[in-house]
Amino acid sequence: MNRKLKQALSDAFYVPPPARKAAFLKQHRRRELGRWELIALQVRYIRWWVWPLSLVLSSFILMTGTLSAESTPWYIAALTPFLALLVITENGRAQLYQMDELELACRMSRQSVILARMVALGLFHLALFGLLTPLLAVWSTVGAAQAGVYLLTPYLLTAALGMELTRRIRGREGLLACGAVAAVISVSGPLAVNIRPALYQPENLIWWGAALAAAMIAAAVEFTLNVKNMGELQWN
Amino acid sequence: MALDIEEQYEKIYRYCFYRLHSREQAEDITQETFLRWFASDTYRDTNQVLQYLYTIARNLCIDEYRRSDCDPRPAEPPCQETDPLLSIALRAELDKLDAEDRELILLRYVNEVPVKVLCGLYQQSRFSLHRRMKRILKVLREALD
Repeated sequence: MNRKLKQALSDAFYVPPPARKAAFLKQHRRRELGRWELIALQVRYIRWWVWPLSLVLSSFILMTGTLSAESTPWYIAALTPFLALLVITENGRAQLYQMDELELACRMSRQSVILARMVALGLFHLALFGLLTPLLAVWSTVGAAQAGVYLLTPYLLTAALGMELTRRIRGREGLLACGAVAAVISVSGPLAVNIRPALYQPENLIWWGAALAAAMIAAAVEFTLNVKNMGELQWN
Repeated sequence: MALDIEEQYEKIYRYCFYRLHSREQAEDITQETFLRWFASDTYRDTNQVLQYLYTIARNLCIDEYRRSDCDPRPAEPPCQETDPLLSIALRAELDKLDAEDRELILLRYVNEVPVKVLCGLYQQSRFSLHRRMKRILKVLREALD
């Protein structure tokens, strides 16, 4: 629709301004939760051990990065799938305890809650990756771009596949399948090095970049589908 | 996540005004709609809020319309920024549309209600709603050209 017609329609549906709006809104002032307030609220409901476990896994990545004598830095990418697994299991907690239908009926929509928790954990993990990348660039054999790509690609790939699996397989089985996928992605790094030794070399960074872009798209698509799927459940 | 009540108040009020053609009644119905929403915890922060608000407003307008003798004449618009000829022609064309089509145009293009919400309100699939809006817009465009 062109702007002229849209403006003309707005004018055609002109209404005199409401007279009692300000008084009504003042009388019935409601404090709505903002986005960041909701995220801060949901942080408290994330299981406490998720945070230290994320820190421990990140420390392992850093330790192996700095102490390992390996020439191929596969170890950087080997542990990040488990960080993604933490996010997936946290989101699937309601399914695990068969409480998702109850959550759908709560005041806060399940979509908002899941979105808030994913943003909280995602930002925390991104902050950890942001911290790890320069440290790995300084203390290990890889550059900053390599470290960033090796950290993010398996993380996002696991997150995308995990969301796909939890969307298709409900309950405990779905979460077990996610664990299996995280393990497969984790071990595929060192296995792939045996088949293609140059996989982690800087000249293959462009392929890693392409894989990262694909993983980002897949994660975004899966996230949207997951949220939509929750909406469908809500309608029933 | 959170609904902008101030913005939605104006939109619900506009919707009620075009159903009732009375400023007082439209404002009463708008406030009643919001009070019912405030009283309902179930829909307070779900994605069905807009559909819920418009459904209450529509039902209350129907009740009000049956109860009282509403003036069926639409309100005269004041002097607008757009071309006055276009405005007159558009109003004439809108008057020719049936009430539900006119309401659909108001909701979609003036109140900017998402298509998903409209599908729920009119109990129509996205595809059939899209075809319906396309047909109405075609009529309007042809008349204005």
